[in-house]
Amino acid sequence: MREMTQRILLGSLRRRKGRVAVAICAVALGASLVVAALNLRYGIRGRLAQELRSYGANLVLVPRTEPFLKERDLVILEDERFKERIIGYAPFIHKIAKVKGKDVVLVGTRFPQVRKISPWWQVEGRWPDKEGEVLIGSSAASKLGLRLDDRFSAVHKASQLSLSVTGLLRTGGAEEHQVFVSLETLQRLTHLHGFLTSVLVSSRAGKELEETVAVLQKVWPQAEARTLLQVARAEEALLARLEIFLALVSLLILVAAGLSVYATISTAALERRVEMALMRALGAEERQVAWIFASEAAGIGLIGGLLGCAAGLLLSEAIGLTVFGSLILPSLLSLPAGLALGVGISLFCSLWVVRRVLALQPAMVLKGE
Amino acid sequence: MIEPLILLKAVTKDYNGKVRALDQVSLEVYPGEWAAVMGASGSGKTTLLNMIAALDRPTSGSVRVDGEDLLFLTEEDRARFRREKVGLIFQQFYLIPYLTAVENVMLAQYFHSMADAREAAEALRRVGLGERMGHYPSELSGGEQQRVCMARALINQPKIILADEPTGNLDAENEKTVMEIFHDLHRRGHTLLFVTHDPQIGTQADKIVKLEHGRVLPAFPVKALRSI
Repeated sequence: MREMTQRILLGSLRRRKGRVAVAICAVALGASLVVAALNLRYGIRGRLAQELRSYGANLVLVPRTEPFLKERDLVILEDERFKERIIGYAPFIHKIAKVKGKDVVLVGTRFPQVRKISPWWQVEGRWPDKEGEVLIGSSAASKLGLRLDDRFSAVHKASQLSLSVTGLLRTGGAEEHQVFVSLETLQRLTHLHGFLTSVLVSSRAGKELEETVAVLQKVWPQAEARTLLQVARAEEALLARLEIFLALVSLLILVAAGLSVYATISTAALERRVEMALMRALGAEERQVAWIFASEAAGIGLIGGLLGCAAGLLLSEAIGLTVFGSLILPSLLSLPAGLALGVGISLFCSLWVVRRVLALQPAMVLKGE
Repeated sequence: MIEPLILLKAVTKDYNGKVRALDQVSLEVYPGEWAAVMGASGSGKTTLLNMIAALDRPTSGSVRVDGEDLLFLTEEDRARFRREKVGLIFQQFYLIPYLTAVENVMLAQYFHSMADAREAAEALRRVGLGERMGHYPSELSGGEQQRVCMARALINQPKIILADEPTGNLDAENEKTVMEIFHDLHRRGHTLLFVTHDPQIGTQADKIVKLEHGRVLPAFPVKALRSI
């Protein structure tokens, strides 16, 4: 029995190469679109969430009870469990100092880290990279009458520092009223070696942000983690909308691909209604006819589905590289979904046609009605 | 007393309640008999054959074949009836194009019980196609395709051979070959029922049933027709 089924299937596949190839292509195309859509749906969310982090920190750590955080505790943020959650962070110390007789907020930080979490900051001149060099906010520079390359002194209590302006800073925010120096410079001026007033953290948005806060509060009890609600909520809202949009697009693609596969496979199956009726006229049971055509449809669906999965994966990675410049992590759901679409729709269409044909008297079908 | 193998009583077949293909047709065919159903195109010949082959259902009347009342059989029982009791030969052959001649014959075995390539090859040899069994239908002539169809109809040793215009698509030479096979089957005691519009074919039968507009004409004197 199995041998004859194999003969029928192989004969059909060998002698109907063109038709079979068209059916496989239709399934592969449908499956590839679904796989690509699902991969992009999940991949883009992840990538966009990461991209959004380039628009600034969404979490601030401040001392809970003590006046300062300890700089040595920053090692907590380098912990393995934050590796995937924290995109970047920058420590800060803020102090009021006198410059040209006026009160100015001096901010000590690590410039390379600030650049990472605040890439939109516009600097005229260059970022400081030596001891005694400063980045001065544009408003503070106007107020103090300072320009690029000017030298000035900053006084805090009995201490004094000689500084030079290497860059003018524009951020559109409060930073434009501040003067940025290296963390060590300000700690030396204020005699606060090893102390910080805050740490800005850029964490992944959404649930991961909440998880980051929860873990931080556990492992760094001296620090209070506050989310920058406006930023976090805006990101969440954007990602939620994106999620809905991508879900709708995926659904549309699924329906369109499904209909296309359905049309091709159904047409191919309908073309063979005389074969079905002949088998029935020769005395085949319904289940025998269904088994033959379902086996063929499952084979076509499986081959088309596998090809489609591979093509869809490549397509989503190509889109990821083009749009984001990096590969997208494929969704685990996409491959079974692509295969299920291929095999499921092929089987469904084939059995649907078989059922319709078998519901007719064989004489009617053989007569061409 | 011998019972008729095929017994039709007042069979009527309407299509869509408008077209009457068969009108109160009654018919008896006895075991070993060769009957020919003749008539012009559209007279209801093929419809009648389809009723006897359980390929279609009558609107009214009864169709009894080898003791089974086909009207009361389920679709699965009708399929069983076809594979066990009738061998069908069609005018258009209806061979599966992607199966070889021997595989087409094996298909009928497969639905009947078990496919046996040796037996199928033997059946093809009997109809003179011993050298063509590995060929696909597209590689065979019309006469050869019809002979494959005959081998397929005979492979399960059915009680009745039903043939719808079996020589309708054949040239004179192939028609002769095919008819010789039918004569041989008849000599060996097979019950044959032909549908044909060709008097030369029809008059080779023992009995002729003439149809006109779905009705059986009065009994036809075969011997008289043969002498014409």
